[in-house]
Amino acid sequence: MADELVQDVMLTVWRRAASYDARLASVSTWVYTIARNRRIDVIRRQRRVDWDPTDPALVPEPEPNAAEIRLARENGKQLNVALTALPPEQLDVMRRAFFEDKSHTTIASEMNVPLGTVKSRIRLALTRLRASMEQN
Amino acid sequence: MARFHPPEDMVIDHAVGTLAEAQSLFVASHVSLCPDCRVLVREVEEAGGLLLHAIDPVPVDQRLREAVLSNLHHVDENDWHEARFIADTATLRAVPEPLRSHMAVNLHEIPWQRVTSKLARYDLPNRDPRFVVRMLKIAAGSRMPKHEHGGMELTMVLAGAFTDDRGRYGRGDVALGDPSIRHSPIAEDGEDCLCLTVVEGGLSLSGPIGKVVNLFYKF
Repeated sequence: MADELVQDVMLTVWRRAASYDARLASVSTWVYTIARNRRIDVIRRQRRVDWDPTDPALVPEPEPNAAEIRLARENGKQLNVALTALPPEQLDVMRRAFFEDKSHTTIASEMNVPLGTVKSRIRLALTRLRASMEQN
Repeated sequence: MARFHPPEDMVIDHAVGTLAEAQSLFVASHVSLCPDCRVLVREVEEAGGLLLHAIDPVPVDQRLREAVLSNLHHVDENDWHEARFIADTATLRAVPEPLRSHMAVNLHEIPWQRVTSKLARYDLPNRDPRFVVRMLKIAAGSRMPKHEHGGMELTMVLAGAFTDDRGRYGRGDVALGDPSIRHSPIAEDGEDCLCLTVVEGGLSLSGPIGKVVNLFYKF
């Protein structure tokens, strides 16, 4: 199954490379979203449903540049610094959410902490990552 | 601009990909109508990119490597052309993706089922028995029957507006119901109120009329 998914993701990246838009996301973010979607389709046998940036019904950002409020481009070293600087309990929650396919609720019961704690750890980690990327 | 949003942890779970498909359909459709939640989704995806980037590479075996390389020129048609429903203008204006393609029917063609003279519903396709995914149409100016929730109920306004004791809900706004809440929203005058609702574990009407309705409809 893991092999099938690896092959699937790599081929999807290859086939869709022409549609990658550097203004919308960094390469690793783009690859991450492909891997996430394939994981849902292949392993969970559900269908990834998502918004469509070209949808005429889309409510646009109030200011043209609001879409650009996002983490700055990564660079290997800065990135590792930002990640390793996260407190271990925040990194732990992030890994469980991003790589182990676990919802907030599942993580809370596994770690035996309240749901609110999981929420705030993820929120804090996102805030810290954003802050350290903006500094760079 | 939406003023009422889905719970933040649901938006994050959607971005990470751990939310159930029925709820993801709801959250993603809200995200289409809400630039604020779009920023949060992007942040989570960026964080996912960071985490992915930080993993040490793992070599793949020769067989897998060859399988990938030999398939590079094999074009999968389905991969390129995701099914998109071609809607009429009214539907295109009111219903955002991914809901529009999931509905796959124009608004004026929806085979509404009448629940009361003021309320109609249309159940959308859904393979997950834990949820009911449904469009609701509340007649302009009328009160929705009081109802109770078995589980979490998410309701988003697509057209028109309704008011309950927490405020006014317009296009893109999300009202949350849970088992402890009994509410009875009132649709604003002027335009029928069209909503998408995703209910966990069913929903039942309360009050004398509601009890009768419950006999005939699993609501």
